[in-house]
Amino acid sequence: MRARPLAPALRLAASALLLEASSLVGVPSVHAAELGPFPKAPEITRLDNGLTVVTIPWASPGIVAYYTLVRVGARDEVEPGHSGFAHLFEHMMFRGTERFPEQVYEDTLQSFGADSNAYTTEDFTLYTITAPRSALARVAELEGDRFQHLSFDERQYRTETGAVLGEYNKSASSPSLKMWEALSELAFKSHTYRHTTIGYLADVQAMPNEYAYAKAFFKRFYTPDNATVVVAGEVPHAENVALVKQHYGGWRGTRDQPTVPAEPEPTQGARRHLDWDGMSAPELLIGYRASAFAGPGQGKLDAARVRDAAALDVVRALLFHPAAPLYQALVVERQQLLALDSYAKSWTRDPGLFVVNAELKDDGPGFEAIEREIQQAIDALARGEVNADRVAAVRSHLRYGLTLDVETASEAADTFAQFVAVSGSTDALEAYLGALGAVTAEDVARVAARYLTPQRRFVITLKAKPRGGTP
Amino acid sequence: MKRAELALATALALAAGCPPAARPPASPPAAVATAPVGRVIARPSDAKVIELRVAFEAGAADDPPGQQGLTYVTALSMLEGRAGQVGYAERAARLFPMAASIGVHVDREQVVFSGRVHVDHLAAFYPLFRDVLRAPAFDSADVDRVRTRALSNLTQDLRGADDEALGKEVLQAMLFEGHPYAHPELGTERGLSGFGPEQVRAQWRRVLCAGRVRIGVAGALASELSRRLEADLAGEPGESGCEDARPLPPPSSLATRRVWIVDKPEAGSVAISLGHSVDVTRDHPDFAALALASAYLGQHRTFAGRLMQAMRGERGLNYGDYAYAEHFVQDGASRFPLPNVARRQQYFSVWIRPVRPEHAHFALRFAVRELEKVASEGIGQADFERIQRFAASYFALFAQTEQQRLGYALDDGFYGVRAPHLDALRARFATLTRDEVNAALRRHVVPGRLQVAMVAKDASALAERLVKGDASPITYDTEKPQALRDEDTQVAAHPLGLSREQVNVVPLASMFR
Repeated sequence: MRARPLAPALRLAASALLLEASSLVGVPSVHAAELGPFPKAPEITRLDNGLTVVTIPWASPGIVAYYTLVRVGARDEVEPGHSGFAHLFEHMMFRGTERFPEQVYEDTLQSFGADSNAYTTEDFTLYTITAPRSALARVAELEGDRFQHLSFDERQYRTETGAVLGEYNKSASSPSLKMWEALSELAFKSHTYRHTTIGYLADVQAMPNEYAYAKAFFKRFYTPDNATVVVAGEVPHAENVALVKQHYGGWRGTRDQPTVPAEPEPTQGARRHLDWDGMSAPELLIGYRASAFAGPGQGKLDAARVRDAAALDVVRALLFHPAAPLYQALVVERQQLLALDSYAKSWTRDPGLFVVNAELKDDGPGFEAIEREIQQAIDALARGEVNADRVAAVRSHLRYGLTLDVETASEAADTFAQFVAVSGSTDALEAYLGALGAVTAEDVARVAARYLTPQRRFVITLKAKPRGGTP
Repeated sequence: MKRAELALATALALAAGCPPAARPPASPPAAVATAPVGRVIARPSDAKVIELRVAFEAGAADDPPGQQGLTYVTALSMLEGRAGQVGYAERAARLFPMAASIGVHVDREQVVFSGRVHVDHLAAFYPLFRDVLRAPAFDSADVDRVRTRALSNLTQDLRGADDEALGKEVLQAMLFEGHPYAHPELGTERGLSGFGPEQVRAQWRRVLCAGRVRIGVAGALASELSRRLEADLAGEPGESGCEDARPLPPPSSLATRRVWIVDKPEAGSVAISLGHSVDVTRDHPDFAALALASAYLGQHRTFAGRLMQAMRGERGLNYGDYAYAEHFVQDGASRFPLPNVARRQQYFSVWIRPVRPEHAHFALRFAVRELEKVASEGIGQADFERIQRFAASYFALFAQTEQQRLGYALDDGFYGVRAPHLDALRARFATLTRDEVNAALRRHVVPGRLQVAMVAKDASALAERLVKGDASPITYDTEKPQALRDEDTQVAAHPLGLSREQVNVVPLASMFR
């Protein structure tokens, strides 16, 4: 897939290489239109049962990435007391089938040295296998079986809940988990983004008693219309489609559509302070209620939403990248912050959060002074104080970044899957690249004014208690 | 035509400027370092992304006594400070539209600078990259900023917010007590306040210099670019003051088990790391066997390992359990090792991810018992064949990117191995016999020497239980097979053989002070 050509102003001139006094042979530069993560367009086929197969041509001699996306995440956990089940179920997917019990599944993958893992977010779960190209058929067989016929007993289930609790515990020494939990609850009153992907601790602790719920989860969400198989490597699309048809052709089912409560538009922000028993620099976590990536219809892109997502990514880079004046002022020149960040690629299916995270110094200005400065920088953008050259620089940064960031077949599959995950559309990446190329200074001002306002701002502050007592 | 190898003018031998510590013993005078031939690797291709990797054989082990953290601050000040006439802000601004990057990683004996840029921007990028290495200014403001952040990372992040990383560093402190490897790359609290910009500049000249450098370049123009970089790095600071890496003292010959429990009242679970030093590095004939044995015990973040299968898979004790034949740092968010964390002295280790406090004693017993079993009885035939097949293929995934491939090639030079390490390792896995692996286990894994680092609340009570040695049974909320239950009974009573003198409770604030 080639990205749509950028506007002429952004087209990069071919340039010969000059390195001071040396005279290296010039190398033709790549036209900006060719920038993007994939040298060749992915091929896509949707099967009769609703399953989508994507092949990304990728030069990875002897290695293939076989990724399976299931569009289920924390967002779908609408029943009280059942937060974290999409993530728990990700764990259960490794517990085998009647045909390939878990040890047989694991031994088979090990026999050809595959790397196998998975992760879950608020919107999706992604199963990742990187294996020798020669093992592709076997991988398709294993995966087709477990996605249709997963089978685990209660003993296996209860044992795995221990591992999930262990995963919660391993992160508990960091204040980040608590801050994210607090921000999610503060920013969302109705929507299921109100809880984190790993779930509330109470729900995680209660998981051992929810075997029946977990079994039902598989039938509800692990359906062909809710899944996409993404294969990256030196594999003809026809071969992939044939393998998937062979091993998934009998898969039937339609995804459950739980009613995810809509979150009302915020009318005022809120804040909450956390006292931390452990050691930590003062931490600031801000979430602005922002936009969604997906269109309101299933699998349909909304051009306006994609454009807003692209424009917010430009805002992020304008303000919070280490090259940004705000970053340089706060972190480098005045040294009031130890760190400042905002998370790229954080698009969500439903309206989510634009997040800013800062690590303060104990002896620096307090939280409110930093919040004020961040908001002032945002407000300046909202007033249209946007340098068009800087916007162009950001667009160039983001587009070249896509090319540099995707280095392996695994990363190619992961990148494509993420766009499908938040949009439901295999055209999402191309649409995003096109939108990115078209972001203007006016777009930047518009999204800053629309989304990044105090009325939409939710703030969590955290400070360590003095050692040995309460503050 | 290859350019002439790097050459340095005669340097002044440095006198020992600081009072010798009780350990290590006094080193011989520093010798002038001359980069030998073969320290430049070029991997030309038609790839549009240019990859640069410059590894110095230097690291925290080069920190002078009383200045722990100096090398780290030096490297980060190069990355985040003025270089030539270009300040940090301006450099960041110039790199930004290219999406180019310059990064650094500091370990005990390697500092590696990496650069990535699209070929469209190479002409603009190269002087910036070159000057970070060749012309850092070490302005006071930049050095102080970097130092302040390092201090926060040490005292609040490492001590406060990451029990797993803390456990690993405490283990190294135990294994290499009084040794240049003892402190983390970040340094110590006192060490970080023990130097200023002048010492930072001096450290740059001493250790991040041409005589200690290995260069790797990949992508379009790699051959020409590597020669250019080699020539440029032969200038400042290579002309004078570059020291050879000093000989390391041997690690303490710790013949008995010890346990350090870092007392952390707010710890909700218990982080555990254990291991001991080994006299095996990649150039050792037993390395492949030990690496295969470690994969059997616990290949990082896979279910291939015995510990992972038994502790997490069958018992749900925690999120993971792994074993390593050499120092291991995960490469970003992948499951694969980061290259260029090489060392002249290595250690074997096991990482038990945090367990519930009531399971800590059991988990430790389980791991120790497994190590004792495998060291004395070896790996069974079926398991050996399984792990041999797995590792011979799986290790091919460690070098999928050009940065990784360059990194491994640079490490080959560090260790003096002739054949590319990963290829040779995989080939050796395929030819190893079970007897060879088990013999290597007997030679090099010595459970009686295990050092154990734990991070826990109620550390004194835990210490008491470890010493007392009463059974530490585990209960489950589900039925388990009888065979597992029988094994648990043995584990719960397994003697760790710890006397009171062998178990120490360590105040959190005293670590890396």
